[in-house]
Amino acid sequence: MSEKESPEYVQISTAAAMTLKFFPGQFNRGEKLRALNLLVTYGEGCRASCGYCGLSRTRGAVEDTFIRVDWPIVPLDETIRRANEHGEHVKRVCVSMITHPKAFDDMLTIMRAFRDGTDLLISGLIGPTLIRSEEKVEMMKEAGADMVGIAVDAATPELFDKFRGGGVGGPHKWEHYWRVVDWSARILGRKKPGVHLIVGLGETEREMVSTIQRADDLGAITHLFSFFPEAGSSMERWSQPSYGQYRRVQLARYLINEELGRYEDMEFNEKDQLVDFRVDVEEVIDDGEAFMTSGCAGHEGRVACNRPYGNERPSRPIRNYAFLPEPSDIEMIREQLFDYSGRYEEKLNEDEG
Amino acid sequence: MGNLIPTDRRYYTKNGAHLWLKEENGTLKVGMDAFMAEHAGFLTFLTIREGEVSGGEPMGNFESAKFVSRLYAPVSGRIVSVNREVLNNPRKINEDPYGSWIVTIEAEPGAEAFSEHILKGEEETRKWIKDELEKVE
Repeated sequence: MSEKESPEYVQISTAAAMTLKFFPGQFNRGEKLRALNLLVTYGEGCRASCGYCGLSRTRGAVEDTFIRVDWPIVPLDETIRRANEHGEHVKRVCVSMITHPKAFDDMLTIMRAFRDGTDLLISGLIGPTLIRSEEKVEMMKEAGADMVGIAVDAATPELFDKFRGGGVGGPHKWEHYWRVVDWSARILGRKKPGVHLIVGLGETEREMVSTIQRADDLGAITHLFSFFPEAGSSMERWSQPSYGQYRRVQLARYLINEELGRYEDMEFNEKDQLVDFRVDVEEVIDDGEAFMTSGCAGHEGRVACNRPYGNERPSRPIRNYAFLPEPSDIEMIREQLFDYSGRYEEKLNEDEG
Repeated sequence: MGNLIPTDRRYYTKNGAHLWLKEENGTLKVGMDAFMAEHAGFLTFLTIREGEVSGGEPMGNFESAKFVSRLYAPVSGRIVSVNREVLNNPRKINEDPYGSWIVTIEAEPGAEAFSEHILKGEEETRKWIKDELEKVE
């Protein structure tokens, strides 16, 4: 068993490791990381077995990656010291649980350490399976968290059960996850919980947009991720969703979370692809914010959790923009957005030859 | 400068390239300098187009978890060998940039001498790296 365990140690993303100078490197296009992502860490790992997840106990990979990149284990006190020394662009820290009996208490300890040792805003990416009462949400609030993330991930109860619950011998329950979303919105306030959803787990666009609306109606905003096949996971041979699918879901999410549109008014074709948003989207597309990373905000209301290049290699077209897309990006986004048959991917593959 | 930019070789700088060149047995050994290895972060992918190359034109790409850039040919000529070990494990460049050559190039006669982007001499190299370091500070 590893001796480097939480709460004395945490796992941090490659982006956080670069920003805090544990790792060398800069971000493509000069981007800066605005939120540090941390995981609690234990030698025995996560006890869940989600089919797409790099942390799954059933993953047979030789690589020790999660969401595409390395997550080094570093001392908590040194992380806090470096956040104060090197984190001039950092606005927020997110402490993530894994499914482990110590995870909740250790997450609170780590949150308190950041609350007392930095000026950063604090989020908790919580594992609802270990949150069995509203009191635990209150405890996070007292520990310094003003926002929480809840990784529902799958857009339908069937997909949730298939990849996270009974289908993989996992402990997670769809209805309980939504119960915790509801508790969080009531205790922390409207738009303070963020529901994480992964596009590309086999759902239709209609199903995903419907679930985004459900979250919004409960008082939660939605943070979108694009499925990435983790080596060694049971879904390592799956493809990422098409850019067209991802862009349309991004735009629908933005319209719903900004209260510019509703799922019930949107129109879908026979393949359940979104064909009409039923609001004038031209200005929204040109503005570009809809295609930026959705995540917990900083003090000024701008997204802090910007996760640069979190969903794709930096050599591939960006899915979640960590910065406001430029005119040439918007031109490409338009091409992707209105592609319903995968022509964009065909062209991309041809260009790579 | 010392370990960051050793002076036993020359440096190619066009388009922000940070490549070192060292003549050996009539060919030019080419690698990435420590500045770029640090700037890019732990390298994960390295691709090389073998065969004829034109000075200043792309001869490949390099990529880390969060950064990607082209690799420019420092001279016109022909790539005569590729370091497969480095190609298969580009992180070797981070571990030992000056021991991890990427390609050797048989340069066209006079190609090296005519490239204005290959630094000449220690003083010019020292000034260049000082400017580069100031840009990232």
